[in-house]
Amino acid sequence: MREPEAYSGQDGWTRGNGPEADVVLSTRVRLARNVADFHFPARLDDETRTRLQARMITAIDDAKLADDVRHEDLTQSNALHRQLLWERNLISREAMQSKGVRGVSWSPAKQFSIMTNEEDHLRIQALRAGLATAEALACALEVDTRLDARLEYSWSPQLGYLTACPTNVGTGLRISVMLHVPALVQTRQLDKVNKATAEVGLTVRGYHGEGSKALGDVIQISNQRTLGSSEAELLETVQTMLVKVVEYERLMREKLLAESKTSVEDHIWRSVGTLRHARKLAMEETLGLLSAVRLGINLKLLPTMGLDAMNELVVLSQPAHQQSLHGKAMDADDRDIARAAWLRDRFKPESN
Amino acid sequence: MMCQACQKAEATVTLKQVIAGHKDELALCARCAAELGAAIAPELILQHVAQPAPLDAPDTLGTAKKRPSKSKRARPVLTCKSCGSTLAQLKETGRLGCAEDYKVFATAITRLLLTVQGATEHRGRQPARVAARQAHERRVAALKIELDLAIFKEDYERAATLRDMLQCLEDGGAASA
Repeated sequence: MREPEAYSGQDGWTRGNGPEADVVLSTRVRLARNVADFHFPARLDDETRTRLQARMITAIDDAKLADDVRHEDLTQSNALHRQLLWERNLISREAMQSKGVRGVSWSPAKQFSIMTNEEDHLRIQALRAGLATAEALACALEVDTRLDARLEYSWSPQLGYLTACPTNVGTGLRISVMLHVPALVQTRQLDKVNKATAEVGLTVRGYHGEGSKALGDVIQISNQRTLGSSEAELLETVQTMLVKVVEYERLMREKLLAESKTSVEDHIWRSVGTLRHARKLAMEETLGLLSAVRLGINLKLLPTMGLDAMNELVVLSQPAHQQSLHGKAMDADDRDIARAAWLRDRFKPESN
Repeated sequence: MMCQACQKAEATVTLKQVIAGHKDELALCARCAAELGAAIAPELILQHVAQPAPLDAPDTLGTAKKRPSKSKRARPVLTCKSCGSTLAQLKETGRLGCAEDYKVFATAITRLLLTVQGATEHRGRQPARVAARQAHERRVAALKIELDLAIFKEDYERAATLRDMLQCLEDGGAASA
């Protein structure tokens, strides 16, 4: 196990102190690519997967993408460690849960990760704190260009980059931005956001991608279509909409504050109280409480606590991180007790 | 022009639709147009262009509709020779087995792309090798036109130079491919 580096907070994108940090937590850009002449991963036997995996890792090494690239064979690592990587967005749920030869290569310095033998042969991901779509896209495309020189991609003139799922074909590009929108949730404006985003081909999902529930008041906005528009056009569509949603959330925060300041304060301070005194905290409840504290900081209703520290609390509260912090595997009940104790310590009155 | 969905019959119909503010046009044969039309009826406008399909065409939907069960039973299951995927598997998992599937199941995939992507043509970046090959092909084509022109003008000295250049370019292209 290598928990220390996994939770040391050096992964810049989990800190969330980037552009528009009061609303935008992080930006993720991913490119789906496949190597020509190999079936898609689901149809490969382990022997072929191993052979292809070696070829892709050689290409990643030869491409000299960064000085600190690490490779991890996900077949070898245990379930808890895989979950840790998933909770930090380095790998997908599929890479965490599936069987078969697969891996991840990543660079903390350049903030990208490359999943190998996931749904597609290669999933290149660039991660950034705050709203940084252009920067993240540039990073992913740079990795792509260097790998393209070393691996022959599966490509067709009509359909572009060919992917295992037709929902990714074409550019293979998905730009996702994670936002904290407590005011939009409280003023029941999410439906409006859903409608507006759907009209321009974007989609709104929850914290870890799936479902529509905005756990911890966090939503993820991403492009749904990957075919028929260029990378630059997709970027423009996402960016334009994101700026609007960020403004909308800020407007609703002002409105909440102007119309019901005491209720807002009450909600925030009750949440602080729970964090200071609760003996058992499940993940879902924790996300709600931390969301209230984050809102309190942004509205300047709470004494200062850095936003990056807040974002780190969210990451570290997750099940695998809690188990790593406490150095042992725990069942859900024990995790809730441990999480509450850990948060009590973080929210001790004198530590503010 | 061939039908963009099945690549087998002459396209006689243009299908236009607007999804998520994005306009898309497809040239289709009568049969694919009818199938696609049934799948996404509300959003589409069908426009007949060029010559309409001949009424006695053997592959119009009318003929297939008369004996649907019989023709269904008689039709062999379409299978990808490369990975062994069938259309049923594709529909069940939503995933393809290999890149060849895009050709083998082109009709079904085009239909799916129209509904989920609202487009059927890639407009983004290309792998470097594709871009390089295209640039090469453009250079060759341009030289060929110049060569034709030189011969037409009876400028044989120029034509000889151009022929050498073309030869050189084509050899180089073959060597790097």
